[in-house]
Amino acid sequence: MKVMKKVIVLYVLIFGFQLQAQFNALTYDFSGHAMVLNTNPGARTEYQSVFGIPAMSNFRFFAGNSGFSAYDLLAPDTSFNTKLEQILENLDNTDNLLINYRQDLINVVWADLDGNLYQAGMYWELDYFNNFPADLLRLAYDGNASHLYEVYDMKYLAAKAEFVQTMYFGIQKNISRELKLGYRFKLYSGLANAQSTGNGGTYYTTDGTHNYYTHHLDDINVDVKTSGYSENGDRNYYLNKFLLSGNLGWGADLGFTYHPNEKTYFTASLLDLGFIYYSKDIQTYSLRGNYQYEGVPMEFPDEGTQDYWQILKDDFEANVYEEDGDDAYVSFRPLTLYASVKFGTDNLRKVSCEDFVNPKTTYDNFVGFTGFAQLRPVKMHLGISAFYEKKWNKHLYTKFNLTADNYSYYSLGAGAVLNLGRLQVFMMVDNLAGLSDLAKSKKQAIQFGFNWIKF
Amino acid sequence: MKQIINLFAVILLLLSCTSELDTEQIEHFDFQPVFDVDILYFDLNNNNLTDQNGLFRQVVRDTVDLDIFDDGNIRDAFVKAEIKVYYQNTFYRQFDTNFYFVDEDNHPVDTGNFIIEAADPSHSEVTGEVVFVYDKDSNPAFVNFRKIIVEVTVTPDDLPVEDATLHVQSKGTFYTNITVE
Repeated sequence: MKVMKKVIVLYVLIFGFQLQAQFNALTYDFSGHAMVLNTNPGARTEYQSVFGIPAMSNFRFFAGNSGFSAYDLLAPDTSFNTKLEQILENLDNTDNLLINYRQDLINVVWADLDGNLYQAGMYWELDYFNNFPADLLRLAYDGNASHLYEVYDMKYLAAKAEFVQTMYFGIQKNISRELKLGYRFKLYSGLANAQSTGNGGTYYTTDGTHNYYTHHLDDINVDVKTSGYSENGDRNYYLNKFLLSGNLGWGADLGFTYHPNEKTYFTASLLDLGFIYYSKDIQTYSLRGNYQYEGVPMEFPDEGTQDYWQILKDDFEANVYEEDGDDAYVSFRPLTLYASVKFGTDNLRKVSCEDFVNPKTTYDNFVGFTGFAQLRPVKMHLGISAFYEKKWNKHLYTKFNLTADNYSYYSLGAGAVLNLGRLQVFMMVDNLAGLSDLAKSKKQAIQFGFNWIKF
Repeated sequence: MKQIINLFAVILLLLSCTSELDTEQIEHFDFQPVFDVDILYFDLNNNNLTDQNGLFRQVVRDTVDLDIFDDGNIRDAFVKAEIKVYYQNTFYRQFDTNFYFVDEDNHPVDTGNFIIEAADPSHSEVTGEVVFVYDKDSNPAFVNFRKIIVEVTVTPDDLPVEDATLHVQSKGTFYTNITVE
């Protein structure tokens, strides 16, 4: 039974969730890694060409929940309400759930005689994000009686789910011996999207003028937008949208590597500076308005009565209105910034003259720091990582890091790149300690892939 | 491709563990939110106590439709209601006040009655508060009400009516039990 539970959790992590290595610290600037250019088009590489095995060159899985773990919610032998109340008590308005999956379908890298690199490929990506509006959740669970004068902000209502296919072409140029610049153009195809972001307005209660309370809805501004949703749930509907769904967008990745001396490397990259214009199969829902409620005002007319309830409802609908529509909309990609500095720690070594792509000398061991920032609704995803990178020989590269980000105060990660002749196999795990108990882990990221490499 | 993915999953499986999780508990659970909401209010002045012919209106009555219990889910969730009524009276008159909770056919399902004391020269304003409790177990018919009839009987019934006001306000504290399945 324990093994079966482990299988369920693991398979849910890998297949049930849509996962992505949001802070891909292990792959970033890992020069022996076939996918290093994915996180920085200007990254230094230890190879001159890569041919990714189609649909198997790169799988990246990430799940992070800054609010609570699966065990916090589903531990056996404890009252569910007790656990839920504990979670709600500790939850913050900026806690969120982030799940993402990326699979590279095509990935090819090649070099010219001057050592400039070219990259082309295609990948798809499933991304899910939801913010936990802690105050609103407590309001729903407890009712308003124990939270009477609190202010509830609709900006914490934020969620987004997206299935995107990306085709790209990139160039990395050796500007000088010290500087490489990389640029990658991306063409996005949005296969499906659902989002509710950028919401606003507040609900709150004050002491009333005519009654005990005045309940307020101020500047309510809530939108829900979807694209690509097939009401009949036809699988072929989505397959037919493969390649070019009609919801197109473009973007760019930029990056550089600068090493002022043999020992020191500075890098930075900006990823997914782009957007998708959703115009197919659109459904939108909006809620707007202002309203105040103090109860029903009775007037005791001389004769008959008024339909007070209907008057109240009409007044509410006149001031807080719903709109359904099908207007096209723009969805921005999650802009991501990486930066790192690393230092060689062992003796300088000369590399083969065939290695014309790279400087003639390099180090086998590096220590350094990587920083990360990603634009997400409500709160930016931030992270910082200290790492140790070692090249054992031409066949084995390893990297270890200690990372702090929104989802964990610290997590120890490890990655290995194994070159079996020209076949490269890699595996990276962001949270080794989390493997000891997946149910109690708030974050896990796993990446693996298979590529043909030419050094 | 599937075999390769499965191989890596098995490797991770061998390297990883997970604590026992009980996923069945999320399929059915209850929670008990409590809601505090204004219900109604009114202000009576001397104009309300005389009709268009200048005759005294000893009984004033008005009705408000409240179909909140039309929804079966709300009826099922209802546990208890505490209706709190606050009044301020500057009339030198007593008001016998009734809140009739009636169904669609105006049959009473529950009532709330209270006396608003008259003000006098030594007490220019009389205030007070009363609470009515309707419990699902002891008042099972309460969820059948669809209207509230407010009826106020004024004594004494002599003219002229002084320039004064009666303010009445009310709120409800609603206790619920919501089942998620």
